[in-house]
Amino acid sequence: MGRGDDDGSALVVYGTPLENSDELSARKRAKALDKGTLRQQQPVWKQDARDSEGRRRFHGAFTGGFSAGYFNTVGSKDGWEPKTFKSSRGSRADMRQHSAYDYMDDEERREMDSKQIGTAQEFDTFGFTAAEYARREATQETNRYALFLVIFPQDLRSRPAVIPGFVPDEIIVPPTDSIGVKLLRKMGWRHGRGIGPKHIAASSEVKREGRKAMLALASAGSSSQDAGPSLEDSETAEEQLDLPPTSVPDFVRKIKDNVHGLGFDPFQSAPEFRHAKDYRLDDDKDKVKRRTLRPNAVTMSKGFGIGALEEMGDEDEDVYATGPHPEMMVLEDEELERLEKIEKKAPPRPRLPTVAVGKDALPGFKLASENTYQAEWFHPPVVPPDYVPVHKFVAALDLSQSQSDNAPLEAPQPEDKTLVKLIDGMAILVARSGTQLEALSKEKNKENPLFQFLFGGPGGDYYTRRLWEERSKRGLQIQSNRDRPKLGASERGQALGEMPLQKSALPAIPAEDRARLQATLNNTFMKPSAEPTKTNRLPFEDDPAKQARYEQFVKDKYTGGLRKMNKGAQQLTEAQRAQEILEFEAVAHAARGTVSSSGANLLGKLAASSDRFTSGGVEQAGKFVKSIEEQQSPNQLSVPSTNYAPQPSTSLSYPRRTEEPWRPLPLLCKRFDVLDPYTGQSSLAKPKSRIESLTLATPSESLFSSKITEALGSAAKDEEVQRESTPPVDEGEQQEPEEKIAEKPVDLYKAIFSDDEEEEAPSQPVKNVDAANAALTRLVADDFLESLGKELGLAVPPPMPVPVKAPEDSSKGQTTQDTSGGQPEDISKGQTTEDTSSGQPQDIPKGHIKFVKPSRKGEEPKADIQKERDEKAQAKDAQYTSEPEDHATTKDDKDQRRSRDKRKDKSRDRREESSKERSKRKRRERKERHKRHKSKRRRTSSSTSSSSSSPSPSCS
Amino acid sequence: MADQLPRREAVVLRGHEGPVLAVRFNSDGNYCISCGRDRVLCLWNPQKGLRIKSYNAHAREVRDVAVVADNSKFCSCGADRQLFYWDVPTGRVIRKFRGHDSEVNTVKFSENSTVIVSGGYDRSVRAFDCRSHSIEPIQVIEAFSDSVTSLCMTRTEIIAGSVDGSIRTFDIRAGRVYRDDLGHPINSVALSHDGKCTLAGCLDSTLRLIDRETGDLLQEYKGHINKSYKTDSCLTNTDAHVVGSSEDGRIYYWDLVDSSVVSSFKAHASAVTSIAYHKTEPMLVTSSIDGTVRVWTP
Repeated sequence: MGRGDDDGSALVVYGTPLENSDELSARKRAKALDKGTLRQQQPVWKQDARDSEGRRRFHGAFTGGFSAGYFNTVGSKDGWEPKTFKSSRGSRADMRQHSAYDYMDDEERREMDSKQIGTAQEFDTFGFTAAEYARREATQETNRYALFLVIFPQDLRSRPAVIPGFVPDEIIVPPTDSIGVKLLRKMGWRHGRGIGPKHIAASSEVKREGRKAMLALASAGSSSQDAGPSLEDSETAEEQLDLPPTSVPDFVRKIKDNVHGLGFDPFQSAPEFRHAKDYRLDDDKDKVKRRTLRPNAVTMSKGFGIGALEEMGDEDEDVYATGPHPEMMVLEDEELERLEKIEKKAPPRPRLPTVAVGKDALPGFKLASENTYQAEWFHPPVVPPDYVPVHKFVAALDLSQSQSDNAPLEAPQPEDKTLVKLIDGMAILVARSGTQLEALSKEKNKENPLFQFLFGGPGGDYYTRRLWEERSKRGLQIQSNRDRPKLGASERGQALGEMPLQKSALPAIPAEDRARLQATLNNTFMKPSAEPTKTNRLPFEDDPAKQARYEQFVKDKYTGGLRKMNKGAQQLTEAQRAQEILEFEAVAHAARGTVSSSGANLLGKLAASSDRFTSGGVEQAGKFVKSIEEQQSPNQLSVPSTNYAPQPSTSLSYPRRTEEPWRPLPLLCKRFDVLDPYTGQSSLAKPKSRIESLTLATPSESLFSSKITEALGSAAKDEEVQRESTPPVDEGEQQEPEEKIAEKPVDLYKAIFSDDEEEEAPSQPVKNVDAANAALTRLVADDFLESLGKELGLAVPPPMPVPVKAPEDSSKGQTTQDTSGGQPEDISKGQTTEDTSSGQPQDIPKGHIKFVKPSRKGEEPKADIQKERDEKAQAKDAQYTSEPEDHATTKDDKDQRRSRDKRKDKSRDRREESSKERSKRKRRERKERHKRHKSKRRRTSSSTSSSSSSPSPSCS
Repeated sequence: MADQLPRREAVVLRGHEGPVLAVRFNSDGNYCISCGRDRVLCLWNPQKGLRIKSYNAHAREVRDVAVVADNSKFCSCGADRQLFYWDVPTGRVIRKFRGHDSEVNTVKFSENSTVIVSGGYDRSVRAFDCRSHSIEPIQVIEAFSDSVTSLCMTRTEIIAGSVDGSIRTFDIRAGRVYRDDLGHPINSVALSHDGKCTLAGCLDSTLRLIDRETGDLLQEYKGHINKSYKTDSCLTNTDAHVVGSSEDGRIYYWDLVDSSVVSSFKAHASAVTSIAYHKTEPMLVTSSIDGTVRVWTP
């Protein structure tokens, strides 16, 4: 702020003068202090620069340094405050675009704003800024009012409000008008009216017409069908009031359909051209467009808004028409016809999609008068009239046919018999396997004098003749197309004039390898010999099978290729076979004489040059043979080998490879950067814990028990004879699972938790024996007997009174265990049969044991069972014939013993141990249970052994 | 070729008090680390014959050691049934893994050095995680029926040889295990550098070269004695020769292909326990019951 001093000098002084503190009064001083213009008020080192707001601006390195940023610019002491990003489904974090504005303080912002050009409120004609301002004002007002309400709630009515309380300012925008509107209003304008001199629109006919048109537009805009009479009313009212035309938005009045700049009128100074253009437009088919754009646009366009001076034409009648103009319809029809005509004239072309053709041009678009787009259309090639869609091969391609056509001349055989044989063999070979073999052998035997016939040397003619003969013999000419020899790489190279390749892979293989390879190949492949060795004598006359193999060998040798396993040789071991092959080779060689094998090393070299065969081939071949061997049973050696004893080499059986799935844990896979191959599959089966094995074993146990009950049930229905037969089955069944689960502590589990149904059911009949005894007495007796039996080892039958009970008790005893009666002898037969099914061992002698045993059910210590059984087995022969039930039991025992003898291993001991424990535990359990759950026991026993007990009444 | 084989004694590394049980090169081959019955691990400079550092923490003999790819850490195992994860410069034990139920025979790192795999007398192979703080194994593979003597690793496979005569290849990628039964207790397992063959030292004084893909026996190498000691075998850096150690203190070189003994020389006074061949150079390090580690160069 510069200001010239008025002391007369010409100096110009800038800035605010500081005032001396001593010159100032106290009040002024305070004011100056406030303003910061006071000089010498503080020592220099205490003075600091402040901005207009009084904030300290500069923080020197020694007086704040870092806090400079903190105090004036950035948000916190630590610098820029990091914002935490938070976004949830409910409240989405908005993507905020940071601008420089965010990092400015007030001053900077003000500075920034000062550079921008904005509209001052008073000049804001459109009222946007004003509206915004007003809204802000209103908000403040509302807030104030709210505060007012809070303070004086009783004064609610003091301010009229539609919605009491806070009203969102979006809803209520206070009316603020721009200065222009205000001016207009002051001049008498009202909202919704057009601006224009109303006196021009005099009360003339023309004016009326124009207004009608205008009203028509309005009615069309509101698209009210029933607006007719009301319009009439409004019209008359308007006429009476003589109002200026309603303000209509400019864009409605005149659609911008040119490419000129906004507001530019090219016909401003030449209005006659405008008419010309209009005319042209009318002539063009854009009437269609206009119609589609707005139903009444055409009708309105002339009369509306332009003024009363323009002629309205005959549109007065159509003011209320809403449908398409009849004239337009005609035009449309014509248009369509024309289009059709055009289409007819034009060659058939792919139609453009949808809009372009036809009447349905999109609103806002007009139909192009000329379709500039033309899809390229290619005509299909013209098929010659004489075209036959089947390809016929030229006959000249047929090689062998051509050969057969011009058969070579008969050639005399060369004198050399070996050569003749060689040639014959070669010809057959070549005829069989194609000319590439010839080419190959040519290549291989360049230096070989024996093979000069291939190069047209001696015997060449004969060779070609023989070749032809062989070919014709093989009927190659018939299937010539298929058998046409394919060119090998060398031939192709030759044809193209390439240098023949050096023997490629061979030098890379060391000599030892080559030798080994050769050996392998010799084992695997046959060397084809040029001529079949015709041996009159049979080298293996004494062994026809071997002779047959030898013949097969010779035949194969003649053919060459992979060694086949003939049937006989399959029964031999690898070593035998190898030996035999050597033998055959020797014999064949001897028989053949000196004829060198033509393609002897051919195949060998072929194979050697190809790198398919690695050194592993030895073992592979061996493995292959071995696998075949293993399929055979080794004792099928029908052919005895004379030369050597067959000894299976052990080294060949190793190494052995087996493969099985293995599950790496996911973490291991992760650490090895490998996808878990078992992703999504259930987790590994853990090694069974004791508990698991317990729980898993129970179902089988219960199954087993159900089996027994089943068996018993079936047994119950049948006759006695059958009953005799069934118990062993039951015994066996019982025995088997017991063995299976011998190692598992299932019995312990069962003894604790299960009801011992399967034990009870079979042992039910035993209970009948001591039916007369009361429960307690019996228990005592049990204990006594047990201890006694233990002491005596059960060898001696305990001196129990033989209970001869009343027979009528027996039936009672069947159902309830407590009252189980002792039976007479005849009944006991049936009972004992079932007894055996229980697996309860009986003492010897039979007749006594049963009654001696006072146990309700299997209360005998199982450890003793073993001993007992053994003894029984000894004594059995003398005893068992007397009673059928005895027979059954002994049979069972026999079975048991047999099975037990079979498996003399640890499991047995363990099982016995466990059974001992089990039985002890069971005994204890039962005693207790018996006391407590008599009734329950009754129920279970009746349910499980009802079938078993049912036959006994029938017996009695 | 054969004269390029390391046969000349360059340096004798003395420092172990008692049999040296294993010697290994670090990943670049500039250092080697040995361990022995004296429960000490020694870091050596094999070129200069200097002992750089010794590491003491094991309670019993140290049987094997493996070095991380970046040479910053190594892992050792031994008869104290634990695996020690060491920091090389400080010489501190970073972690002691729970290890095995009995002596740990062998230890190796996975290729990315995140997993330690060890095999032990408890017939198991265990994998430990270097990245977590857990000392429990990631996985315990108890497929063997006898002590696991030797291990080697590929990128995704664990190859372990056992006294039960089998080499088991645990393919983590495929989730399969391939078991190659050789019929003889396996003492050492080594991979060829092309990764296609496994060299298995068997206790019938034979080294066997197994094709990893098919499990076929490619070659057998005989001549040395290996019937009771735990010894090592490996291939030279060029894969041209097979190196085997003998119980009579000799080192044998076989031609890989024709299995002929190319060279053999007396290296130690008593049985050779471990050998290691330099990754890039013809350099061999051997350790022996006689308490020395010797460096051999051509």
